[in-house]
Amino acid sequence: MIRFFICRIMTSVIKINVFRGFGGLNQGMGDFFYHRGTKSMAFKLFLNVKKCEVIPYLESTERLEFQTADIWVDLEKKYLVLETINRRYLIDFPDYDKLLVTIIGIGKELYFRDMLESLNRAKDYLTTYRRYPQLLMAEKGVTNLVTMIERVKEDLFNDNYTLMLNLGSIKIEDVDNFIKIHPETKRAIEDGIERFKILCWESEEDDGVEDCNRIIPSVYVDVYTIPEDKRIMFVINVDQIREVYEHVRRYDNAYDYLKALEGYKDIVMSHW
Amino acid sequence: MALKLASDVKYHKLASVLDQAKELNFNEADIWLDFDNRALDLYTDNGFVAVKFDDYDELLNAIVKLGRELAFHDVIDTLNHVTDDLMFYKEHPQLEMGEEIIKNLLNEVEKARDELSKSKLKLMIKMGELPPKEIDNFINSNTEVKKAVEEATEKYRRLCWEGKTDDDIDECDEALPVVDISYYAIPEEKSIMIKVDVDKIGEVYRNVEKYDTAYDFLKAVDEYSNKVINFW
Repeated sequence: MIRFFICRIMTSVIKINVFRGFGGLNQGMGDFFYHRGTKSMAFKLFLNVKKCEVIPYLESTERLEFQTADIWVDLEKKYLVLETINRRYLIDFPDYDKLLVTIIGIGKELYFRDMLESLNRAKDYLTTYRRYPQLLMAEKGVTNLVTMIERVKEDLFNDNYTLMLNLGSIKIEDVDNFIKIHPETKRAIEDGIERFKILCWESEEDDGVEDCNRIIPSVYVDVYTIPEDKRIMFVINVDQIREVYEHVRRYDNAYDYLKALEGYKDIVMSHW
Repeated sequence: MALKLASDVKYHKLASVLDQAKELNFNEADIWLDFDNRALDLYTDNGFVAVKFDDYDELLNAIVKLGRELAFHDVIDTLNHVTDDLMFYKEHPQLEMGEEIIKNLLNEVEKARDELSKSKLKLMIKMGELPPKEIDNFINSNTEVKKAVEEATEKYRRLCWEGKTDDDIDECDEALPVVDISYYAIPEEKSIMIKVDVDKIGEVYRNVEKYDTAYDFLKAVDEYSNKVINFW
């Protein structure tokens, strides 16, 4: 429910609506936002995004008061929602293309910083933090890795990568239904189950083999989206075996793609 | 007694590969090779202990076992940290690696870990580096090294002209790169490796001296260790 409407900032590209005093949000991909008395579904894109990471892609946020925000997208209303400690800012876009471009921009900025930090840390581990500096491994095992890290960093700087968002997994109760409407996945899952059983037979003593025949491994479906290619990807996994099938859907325009994404938000559960 | 094999080795690690250490009481030890007394000298937080061996083969075996145990765990720990950093400690867990950008790197880490567990990598002990005042002497006494260093100096000067070194560009014709000469012991092969590196160019020369017996090898290690400077 709306308690306060504080201010409204207009810019040439986007509008920012500021709200204050909402209750906490549940963890989950789909969640309700209340906007002027009507409910609207949104899902979380990014957590703990620093202001400096948003500004290059949403200039108008420079005047807003926050240090970090969780960013949600409300596809129905073409909003990005910045959830900060004190307030919630609603930023509307004139069209879906602009909304998509902004999602890609922020996502790549975060990924770039995040990955660069990880690569630098990994390199530090390989080069500096050795406990026994006088003991080395002959040949090139570790130096190759450092060279590869440098190469990946170069790719990052040259923008040679595509952003992929992990949206979560299809809710357990919806997995069967997903398989039913995608019969092409069935064969791959059956093969995966067979491989799971073989692994089980190999690891068990003679008296456990019977149990292996009875165990049905869990099947889970991870959902990813690749905004730059307007693709949604479903990765079907079998316990212990991991990925057994990849189902990809591609869309022609930002509207179709984001609408399709919206269609999945009710059955996808995020992990963060 | 000149070569430190490892510092701050925990009791449980040492006891897992050296039976003689099991009855000792300490938390951490620095381990030195004592060639003359056929021993490993342990400087522990609870005093000094010399672990003696019946012959040089046994001493060499103990060095290999201990070194592999420590280096193996050290590198495995490092590789695990790398994997963790690249995969799990992401500030934004919802952002995944697109396409192949990092998968190859993770595969390589996995491969390195695999090779390590299959013992494909050999232990190498960095003994130290030749003191600067002896470097010229070493270069001039070996024609192969001399040629390699001269060629590297040419390359270094080209880099200098391109402004890629710290030298004054007007003095590139006279610029001399820093040369390091490092010594490594490879106990499993009973060999000693000498490596020459030139600043900004990298390795330009490598020579491996092999020894037939544990005694000859450890004696050479002892002699070289007395010649070099180490940094730990």
